[in-house]
Amino acid sequence: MQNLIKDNQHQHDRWTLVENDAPIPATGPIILPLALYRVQKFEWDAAGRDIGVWLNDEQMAEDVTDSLNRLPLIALRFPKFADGRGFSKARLLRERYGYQGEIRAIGDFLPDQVFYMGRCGIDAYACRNNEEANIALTLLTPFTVHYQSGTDSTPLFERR
Amino acid sequence: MYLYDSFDQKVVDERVDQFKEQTERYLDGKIADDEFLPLRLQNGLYIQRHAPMLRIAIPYGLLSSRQLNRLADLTDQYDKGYAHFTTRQNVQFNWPALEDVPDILADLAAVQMHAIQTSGNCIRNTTTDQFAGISQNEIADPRPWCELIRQWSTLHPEFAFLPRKFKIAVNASPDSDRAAVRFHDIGLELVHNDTGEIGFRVFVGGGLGRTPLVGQNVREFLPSKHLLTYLDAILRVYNLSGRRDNKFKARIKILVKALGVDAFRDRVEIEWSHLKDGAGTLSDTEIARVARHFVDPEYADLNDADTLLTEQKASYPGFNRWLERNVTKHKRPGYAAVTLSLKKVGNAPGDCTSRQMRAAAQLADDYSLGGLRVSHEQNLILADVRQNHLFDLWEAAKLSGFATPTIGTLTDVICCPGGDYCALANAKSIPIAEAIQVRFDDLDYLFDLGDIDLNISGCMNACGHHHIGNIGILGVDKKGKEFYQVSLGGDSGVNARVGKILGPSFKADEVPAVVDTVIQVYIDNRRPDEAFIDTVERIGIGPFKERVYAKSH
Repeated sequence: MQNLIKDNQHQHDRWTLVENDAPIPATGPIILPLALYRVQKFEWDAAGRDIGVWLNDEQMAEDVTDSLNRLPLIALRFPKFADGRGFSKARLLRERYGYQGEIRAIGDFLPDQVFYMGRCGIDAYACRNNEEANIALTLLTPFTVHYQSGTDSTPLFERR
Repeated sequence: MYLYDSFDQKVVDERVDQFKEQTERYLDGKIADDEFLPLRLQNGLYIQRHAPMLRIAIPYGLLSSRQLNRLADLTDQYDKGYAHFTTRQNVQFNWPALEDVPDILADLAAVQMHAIQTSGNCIRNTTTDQFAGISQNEIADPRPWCELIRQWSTLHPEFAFLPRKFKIAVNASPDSDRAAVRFHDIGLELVHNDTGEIGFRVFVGGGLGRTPLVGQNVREFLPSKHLLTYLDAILRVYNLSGRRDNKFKARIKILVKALGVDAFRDRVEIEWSHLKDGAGTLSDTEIARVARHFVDPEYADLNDADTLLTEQKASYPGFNRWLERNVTKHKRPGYAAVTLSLKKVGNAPGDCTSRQMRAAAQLADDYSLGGLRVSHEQNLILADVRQNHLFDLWEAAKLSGFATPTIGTLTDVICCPGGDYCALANAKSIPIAEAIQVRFDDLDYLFDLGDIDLNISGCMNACGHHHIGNIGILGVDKKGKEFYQVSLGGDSGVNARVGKILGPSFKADEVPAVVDTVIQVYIDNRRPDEAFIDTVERIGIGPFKERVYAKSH
């Protein structure tokens, strides 16, 4: 997989995304569906392996706040690129709940959205394919001026 | 007006670069149609019946003569030499080529204009009263607040992919509402609290379209420094909870209605409790920085020119009419605001040729300190005219077809482009407007009828705001044929109300006669000095219904 952009570069993806009802790899870092993680949270937390979770479109930041210190990765699934709920969820995770781990965009999003995503606290992008990952790399900072605050900056008016 | 500094300029310049790259990628076949759609829409670009349509923002209606000249040049260079002013203080080009749009945007950026977020499911252009800053009794100038909202909403990273479009309007006048704020997703009214502090009364969930609703009061007083964090809270609740499964139920009005305004308010307040006093809380310095752009120009110390105007009125009945309908009081003695009508019979309402644009820009330079405004009613305004220049201005305005003295009357029709241009429309709207203007061409009669808002939309999307016209006309499709539904009693002002449908719809050629009958019923029933809308309110739609359908069957 060469579709992952993180820290402003292509990265090898060491995580396996586990879909709903799909077999779970015996070893290695895995990103579990939130519901699957929750039903056996105690076991997963004690399993001694890297566990992340992914939130579907209906699952909110509040559904994962009790596990933030145990999860090195939270993925937000965009069901459709036009569905902007993930932007608010990412900001809530970062700004309200102080989450420090990786927030990864997964699912159906466009390279043209990574700039806004980055301003909302998403820091990894599992693009739909390699070509889009290459494009996304060039679109991380199309704007150097930000009027509003984001996870990356205070509002412009403080610097005027 | 607000002048860009290097930061503001950089934003629009970088936006042009971004869209240029996106357009190239699209033309190279590297972006699918449905994925290019939100990208182009957020730059104002629709694909329409005949060609793309480009919607350019005129933030809260302010335009300099230089900008209007640039628009004129662009319509000549890239379009067919005319443009259309909309009901939301935007201007539309009907015929640009997709590949030219990045260049058009670059030319606009050079005069501090843009098309950012004039379409798409994001926060749109903020609108306000066309007489902002010059009206006699406003609480405070709404324009600095509009500009603060413009900057906050521009490229807002969290709210670019909302469930549906989102429109904000601001009113500062306690006894009138020319911005129709209660028919916006968020309507803001500038108010004073008991201690004289400035703030906002906040309405949420108004709108037209398929489900017309009046906005609900969610906050009686919001201190002004909290404006942006409170807007963030409303938008976040909407972004996370608004419906995304059905386009027709996706506006915030549906969420407010489904939850009930009290539960909605509770959610906003909880969200806001986290954001209040955080980043985004406006500093006095920032408020003052923006407000500096809207201080009064250096008005001359004048007296009202009553004697002169009385003489001129006596000699020129046409001037008298024009003064009465097209000239508005100004807060400064000796000055007045003039509305240049874009409703001349034979012209589509709101349409303006490049020649007219240049002429209007020249009038602005000659008579009004180089500034213009664009109104919700699709006319142009010269806001700072000396009263002793009014006569000369009237003469000059006539030469360009701007002096139709019908502002606020039945023939000052608000009208969308309709089926002649728009791919969404069910029916044409421009020919209906024209047929009504032709039928009611007797100016004395029109004046006697007084203020009547007639609004025409070519489909349920209601761009012509038919629901809030005193008389509303809606184009509908019946088995492939164009029909028109008529409603009465809508009101966009402080008594915000949605009109009631009269009954079964009419064929296009029946509409002028129906309007005529409606007017007859008004004349037969009105009390001395009673406006049309008040008569409808008093007697109800029954008598109108009776007469209109008695006649047509």
